Amino acid sequence: MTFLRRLVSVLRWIFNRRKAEQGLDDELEAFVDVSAAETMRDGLSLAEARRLAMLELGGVEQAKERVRTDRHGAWLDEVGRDMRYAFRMFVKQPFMRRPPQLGQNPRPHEVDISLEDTGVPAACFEPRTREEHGRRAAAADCTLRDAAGRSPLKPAYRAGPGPVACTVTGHLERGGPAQRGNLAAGPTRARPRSARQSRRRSDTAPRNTSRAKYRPMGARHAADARCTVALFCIRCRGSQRDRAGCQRPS
Amino acid sequence: MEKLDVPQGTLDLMLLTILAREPMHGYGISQRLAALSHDNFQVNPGSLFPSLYRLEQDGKLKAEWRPTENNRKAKYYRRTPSGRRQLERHRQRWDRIAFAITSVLEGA
Repeated sequence: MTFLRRLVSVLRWIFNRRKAEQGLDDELEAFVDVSAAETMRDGLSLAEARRLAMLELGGVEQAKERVRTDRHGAWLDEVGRDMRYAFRMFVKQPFMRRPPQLGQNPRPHEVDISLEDTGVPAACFEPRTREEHGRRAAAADCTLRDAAGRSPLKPAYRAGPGPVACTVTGHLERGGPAQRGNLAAGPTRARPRSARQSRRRSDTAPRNTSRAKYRPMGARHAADARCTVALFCIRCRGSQRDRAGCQRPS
Repeated sequence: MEKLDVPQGTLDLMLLTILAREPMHGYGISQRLAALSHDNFQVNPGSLFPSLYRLEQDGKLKAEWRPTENNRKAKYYRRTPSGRRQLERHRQRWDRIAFAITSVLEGA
């Protein structure tokens, strides 16, 4: 019998949601009214009495949420929400993509490199894999840091699709934007005289044949022998960018 | 005096007991609970209303809107026969628990 009553109640909650929510609103409002009326007998003003009543209630929305989550059949709401979300996501992106697993790297063409106000040659950071990126950085006396500034970059961080920032120090900063050799090769060019010159060099430099997509944003030399390089997953572009937590340098 | 937390699983028992006398609204129930427990228990409405709604869903309570003595509308809960049977079961179980705990404490 109890099961039938619960079932009826759950169905009523599902198919007559607005009325049930209205009833809950009315009841909590009535609680505040009655409580305030009792408190006003002690000589408090209506506003003060209502404020105390609200404090006693502990927040109308919080109380409503407790009722919603504690009632029988609350899991149906969650399932419904999940199904709606899954449907929306499926409509938005019908082709399923397998996310990178922990310990695996994204495919090379899924990684984008952005240079933040730096003159470090993009090819130096050819991101075949993030591990390789890490090795190259290490060979070039770089320090890899993740977006939160943690260092050194641990393998677990490399697996995620989020941004990875690399702070480069040492002889690398003297390599011009046109330099596209191995990082370990060391400096071969002097610092360009101006940003325009630097940009021109960057534009005319031979493109790497890798499928990796480069986005050299700043072609200037790093003035203070430090530069920052960030890796971005191109899967996070567009509408998914925010959800993946990626940021792009302005 | 510091308030005590209501022991888990006993709120329904206390609500059904309080509503055995007469139908009451949410605020009245919380006040009666505080008075009967000598102000040891103060049930937060955030805990009280989910219990009331659950008991109502189970058919242990029945609710109806009525004007209060201050001429305000409030939802009054009253116990149903099913609620009375559940109260008896809970009461027997609680008596056993209380007896067992008391026996352990006195025997130690």
